[in-house]
Amino acid sequence: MKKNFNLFQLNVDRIPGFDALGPDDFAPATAEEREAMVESRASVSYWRDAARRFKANKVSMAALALFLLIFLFSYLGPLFIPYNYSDQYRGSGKLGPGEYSKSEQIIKKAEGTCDGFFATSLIPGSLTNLGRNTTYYFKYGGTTYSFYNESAVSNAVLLFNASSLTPLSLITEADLDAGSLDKAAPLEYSTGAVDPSAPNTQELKLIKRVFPHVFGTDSSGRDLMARTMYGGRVSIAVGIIAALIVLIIGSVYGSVSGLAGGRVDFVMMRIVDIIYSVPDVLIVLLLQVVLKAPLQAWLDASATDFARLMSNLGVGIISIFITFAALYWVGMSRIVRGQVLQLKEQEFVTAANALGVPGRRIVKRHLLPNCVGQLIIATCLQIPSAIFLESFLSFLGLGVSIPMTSLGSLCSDALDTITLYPYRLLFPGIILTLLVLSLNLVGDGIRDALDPRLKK
Amino acid sequence: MAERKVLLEVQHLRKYFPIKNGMFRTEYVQAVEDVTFSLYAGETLGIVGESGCGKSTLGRSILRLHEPTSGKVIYDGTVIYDGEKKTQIPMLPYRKKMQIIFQDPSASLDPRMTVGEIVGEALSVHRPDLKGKAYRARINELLETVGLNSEHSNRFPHEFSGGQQQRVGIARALAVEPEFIVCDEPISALDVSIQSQVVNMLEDLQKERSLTYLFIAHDISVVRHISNRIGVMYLGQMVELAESYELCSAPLHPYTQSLLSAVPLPDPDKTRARKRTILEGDVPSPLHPPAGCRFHTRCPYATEECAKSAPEWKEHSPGHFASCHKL
Amino acid sequence: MESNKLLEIKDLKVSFYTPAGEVKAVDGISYDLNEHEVMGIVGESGSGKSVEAYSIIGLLQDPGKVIGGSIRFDGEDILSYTPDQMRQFRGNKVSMIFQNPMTCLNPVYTIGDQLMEALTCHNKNVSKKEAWDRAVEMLELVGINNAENRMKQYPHEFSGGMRQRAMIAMALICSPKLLIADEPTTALDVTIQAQILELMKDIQKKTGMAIVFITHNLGVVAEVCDRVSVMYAGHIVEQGSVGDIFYRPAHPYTKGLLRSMPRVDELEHERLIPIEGTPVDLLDPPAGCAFGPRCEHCMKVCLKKAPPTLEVGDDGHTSACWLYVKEMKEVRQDG
Repeated sequence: MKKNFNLFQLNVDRIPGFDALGPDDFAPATAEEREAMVESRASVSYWRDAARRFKANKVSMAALALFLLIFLFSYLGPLFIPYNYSDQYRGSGKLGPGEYSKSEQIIKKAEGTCDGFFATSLIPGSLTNLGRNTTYYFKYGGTTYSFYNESAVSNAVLLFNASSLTPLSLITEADLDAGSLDKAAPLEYSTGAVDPSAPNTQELKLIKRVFPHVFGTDSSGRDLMARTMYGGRVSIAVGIIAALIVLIIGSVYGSVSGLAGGRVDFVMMRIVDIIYSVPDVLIVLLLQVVLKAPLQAWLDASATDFARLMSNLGVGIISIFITFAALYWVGMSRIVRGQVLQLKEQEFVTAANALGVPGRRIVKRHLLPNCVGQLIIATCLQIPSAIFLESFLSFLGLGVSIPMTSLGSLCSDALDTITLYPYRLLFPGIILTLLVLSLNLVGDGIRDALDPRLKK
Repeated sequence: MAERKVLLEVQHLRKYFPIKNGMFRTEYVQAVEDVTFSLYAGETLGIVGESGCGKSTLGRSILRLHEPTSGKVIYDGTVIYDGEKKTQIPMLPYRKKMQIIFQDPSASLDPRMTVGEIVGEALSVHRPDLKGKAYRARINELLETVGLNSEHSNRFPHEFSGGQQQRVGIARALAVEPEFIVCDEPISALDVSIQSQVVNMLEDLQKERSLTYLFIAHDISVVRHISNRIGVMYLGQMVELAESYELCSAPLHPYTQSLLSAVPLPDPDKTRARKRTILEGDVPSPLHPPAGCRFHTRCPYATEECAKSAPEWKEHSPGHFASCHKL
Repeated sequence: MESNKLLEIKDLKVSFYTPAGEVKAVDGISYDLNEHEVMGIVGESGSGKSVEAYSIIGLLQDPGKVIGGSIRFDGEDILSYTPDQMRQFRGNKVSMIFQNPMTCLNPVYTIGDQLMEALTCHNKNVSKKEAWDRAVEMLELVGINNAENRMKQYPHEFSGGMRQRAMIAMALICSPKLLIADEPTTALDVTIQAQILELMKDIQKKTGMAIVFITHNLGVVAEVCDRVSVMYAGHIVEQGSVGDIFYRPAHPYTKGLLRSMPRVDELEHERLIPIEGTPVDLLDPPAGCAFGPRCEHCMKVCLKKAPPTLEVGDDGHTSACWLYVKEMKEVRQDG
């Protein structure tokens, strides 16, 4: 060590707190003191680390929230509204967002003054009028009210006010147009017990208030919000099921190809190339045409729950699944094969070989766990593209069959009347766009979280 | 020199890698070409050479992690590979005796496994009798051997520094209690201040467990430090093999000479004063190695003969082998 | 030796703001570089040696930010440059060569195009002919034979060593006053490294430019540098002439590095003396001296306060270590 004390003395001023330093400060530090300085951080597993990265990604978190919102809207929404996707309401056709049909307007006006309503137009389907020579009854506050209807009445509103002198009054179709409560004609009734099993006796379900058609209705009087919810259900379910089909077929095919290598790999990948070059939309169209009759026959013939569900969705959806199973797995199989090939060359696999670890164990312990991240990423990004494809096909009229609906077919229906009722395209269109966008952003977020290298 | 036990004999080993060139043409990368040497029990043989000289392939071919193309490998008296007789002995018992340590510690440890699982994997293959407590105790013992502790066993590789990761790699190799370890550039990915920790540990382990090392590296200073003998490789061939002091002080082959003079010394006066042989050009591709002596394109002493015929691998003084026409 | 200061760095601080927290990659370093001088910056990975160089040339990438200190080049404060001024400054007055030449050459242009572009983007009034001649001249300068033909080739037709030569030619084509070489030989084989080092020394002698040579290899430093800064965890722990550093090292880290290196010229087997411990976690550096927990002389004060940088010898040989303060204290007490 070279010492130059003159220089040292010149420098003293530059050392802050030189005089305050005592011999204590220059005592050797103990091993513990040194150790304390090098604190190790808590152990983080790969998944927890990924979750942390995902949570830190504001865009993906917002997209996830948006997706959950749409998911809840689609799956829980129908529980909270009185309308069904398939029910047609007479007199409710072609309503704009938030608009009411004539009978609903009457009820709206009378809300608060009456204890209950019955509008014939609020019963979907065939039962749109009060039949003739029928006794109708309902229970209210322990009393059974009944009245006898002689001639058929359609599109009428029954008002019920227990405390009034004339608890029951009826506004008929002709008077609905006037929109006035004054036209209500009192109705004869009795309060005796009614035998529900007697012929021509029916119970009425009174309603308290009308639920608005938030998104409006279509030309057949179906509530568009209910249809959008069910359309969302179908789209999300189709997306997830199709992505799972792709995942299973693609990863099995890809890993077999990657692991086998050599000639097997070559042949398997050329098959993939051929499938890649097939125009997919054309195949979907062909499948639809070819499969329609036999599928329908099979669905009609078999009486299982599965078949019923499928026939509810329609032949179109089944052929979309078949298309995914037949064509869309190729992308996934290439990803998996690439991943397997890359992992096979990794030194930790060589190390396992050098230790004599058997092949099956290498696949199970080393290759699969390291593929999982990629598989999740690819599947997550597959969902929105499946949703998009389904919507596209439904838009072309090839997806779900009426009355079942999907976001795509809603858009397609709306297109016919776009100039008159643009909002019919707006709502399902916005939901579809937000759904695909949010899933893509979530997928991107998962990719960045699971594989931070890709981002750079 | 006293007769020592030969642990490993490598004879005329070749390893060619096929390269698909177009649809039907296949060319071969001659990664290892006709390498012969023997390794004595308990010694460290250093293999030094530049990137692409085939030193790593040599190490892996000996362990049959790559199946060699031809030649013969004899381990402890048993032929474990013979290209002519197509000997294919099951390697599993030898995996317990011959191990490998890799260059890039982060790539050689499975990122999804904890350190305990990584070290334990070998145990579950070769010591199925160890279960529960005994199994964990053995893992902790191995981790302590390499200067880690038992609380590390639940952590993942990425939580460790390069030096610690390499220690895990060493613990994994030691798990099967091998006799022979191929150290494939075990320190070149590590920081300078960590390299010496690992070198010292390898030396200690060798002493404690009478291990035999094949130490592969591109840095001749490290190889010189740790090895008893050194083999120099160039373009798939071994050009010189000698006791390490002799090789560094009296190198015979022109390539060894230039390699030694190319290494910068951490000593400014010495390194600047020294006369250096600076080789011209780059290493040719092992896909089309030069005819004759493979070094002749860069050799300062090359003659016409060098371009025509390949020099013979000869013993020039006891234990000092080289292949050069000039000698 | 009297010469002009080309580069003055004062208390430079660079931080990276990562999700996991602030990383002080460079934490208050100062040095001067004279004209025609070759300064070596040695350090391990994560010591901040490259970050420091990138901030000189204004190529610091997000999330890195210069948060303090000054960099003056030829008396001008370059941290206040506009992006346009910076572009003019880069390449013209300072150039940089990188560790991996292949990633810095554009594979779709010929070497000649890239060389000529490097010249014409700073000198608009150079004719095509002049640019071509200058490019050929540069290739010859860096020892590429048959330069006229080589001009028309693409980067992939060059071998690793040749590419690094081409990179050097490109960096030098505008005759910069300062060359920053970031691990220029690390990716190369020893024999090629020797070629490139020889070439750089040769060119430095011919052109007289100053070089900041960043490397982790002490041997390379001994070979080419005039002065050396040793970096550890964002600090310069020791600085001095190449002789000071190698023959009179003052800081325990420098000493430790030199002791722990195996040498090809060692006569008999000596056990290496390693630096114990693991490298610093820059996200959570120790209080006081960053090297403290690994230092064999570690004192209590070292774990509390960062050591002051002191002159420990002639010619600006400085070291940041409490051991010298301790010694001063003892000298004072003795009278």
